[in-house]
Amino acid sequence: MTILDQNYFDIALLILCSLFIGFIITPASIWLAKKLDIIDYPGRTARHIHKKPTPPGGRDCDHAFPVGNDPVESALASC
Amino acid sequence: MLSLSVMILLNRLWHHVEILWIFIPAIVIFSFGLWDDKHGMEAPVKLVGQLLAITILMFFDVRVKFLESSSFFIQLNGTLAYWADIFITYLWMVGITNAFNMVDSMDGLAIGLCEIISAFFFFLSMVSGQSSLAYFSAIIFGVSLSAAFYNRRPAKMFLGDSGAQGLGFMLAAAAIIYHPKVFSQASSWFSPIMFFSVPIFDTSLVTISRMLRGLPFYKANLDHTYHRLVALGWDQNRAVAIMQIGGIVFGLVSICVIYLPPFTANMIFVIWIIIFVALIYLLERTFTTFNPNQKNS
Repeated sequence: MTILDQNYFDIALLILCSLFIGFIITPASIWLAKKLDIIDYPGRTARHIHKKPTPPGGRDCDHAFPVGNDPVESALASC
Repeated sequence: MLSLSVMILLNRLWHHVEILWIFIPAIVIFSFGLWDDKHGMEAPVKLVGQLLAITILMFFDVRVKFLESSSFFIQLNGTLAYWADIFITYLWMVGITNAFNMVDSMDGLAIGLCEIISAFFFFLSMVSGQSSLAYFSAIIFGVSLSAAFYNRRPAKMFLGDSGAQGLGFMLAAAAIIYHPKVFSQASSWFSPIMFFSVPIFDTSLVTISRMLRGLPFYKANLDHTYHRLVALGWDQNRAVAIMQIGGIVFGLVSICVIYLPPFTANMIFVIWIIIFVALIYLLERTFTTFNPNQKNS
């Protein structure tokens, strides 16, 4: 017998509950990241392509992303 | 990670020891990642953190064991099989953890892949009756679905090293814990590998490409799969969507494959490798054509 036979309602509830908690906790972590200055500023690494400083928890000020002549960078900087 | 912790506490899931075995070392990965997000961290220090977390994971006996299994088609002697399994565990965990970190450069991509992979694990663990893994994947699926809302383009947040490495680590460990008792191990040993097709492909592509161009493979660069697709003229959303569709297709194939006899299943895995090599060759060739200045720079 699989757990699907036993308590699929519990599993569905667990997914919905995770979704709900995620919706509440994520803005809280965005707020916390801003407070703690855990923000990824443009140009810190070449891999991250955000136009504005975007933390693992929030959007902040308006630094422009340095766009060079690279066609990949130019295309991505529009995001 | 915060949402996951709340969910585990709220639902008292610490009774499922397998979840704790994964979650405790994941906290180590998260902590190193958080430090990296805040202050930056050299690659070797990050690797030390990952090795520490994997060692803790193995302390809880969560490790690859297929070479020690009597039902596997390769049989090695006891000690050699043990150490080979230990080595494969380190390789798998470090590889997938970093692969997830690497794909977290495009809005919605890493979190979308996380949703897809956790959904596949959820389905498979329900079929094989592994309740702990089913609960764990259900939570990761739900939490990633909500995080995807905030990570959609233009992103209000992104996973960062802490989130991406943490999720990658937990999913890689989930792949080890997954034991399809109802299926032959000779047919199912590579199905978790195929679930992670997109991160594995992207990491292989950039590693091979950078080595060919004489660049250090661990240095961040705009040469990932989606960067190459965008350079080919694809819309950014389309590039992300095609990679996620690729993840779904390969995941579905891997689910079908476990029902096949071992020889046929392993032949499909060989075809999967050939497709990967061909795609790497094609993308590398078009990339150096579009970006001649990237070559040997």
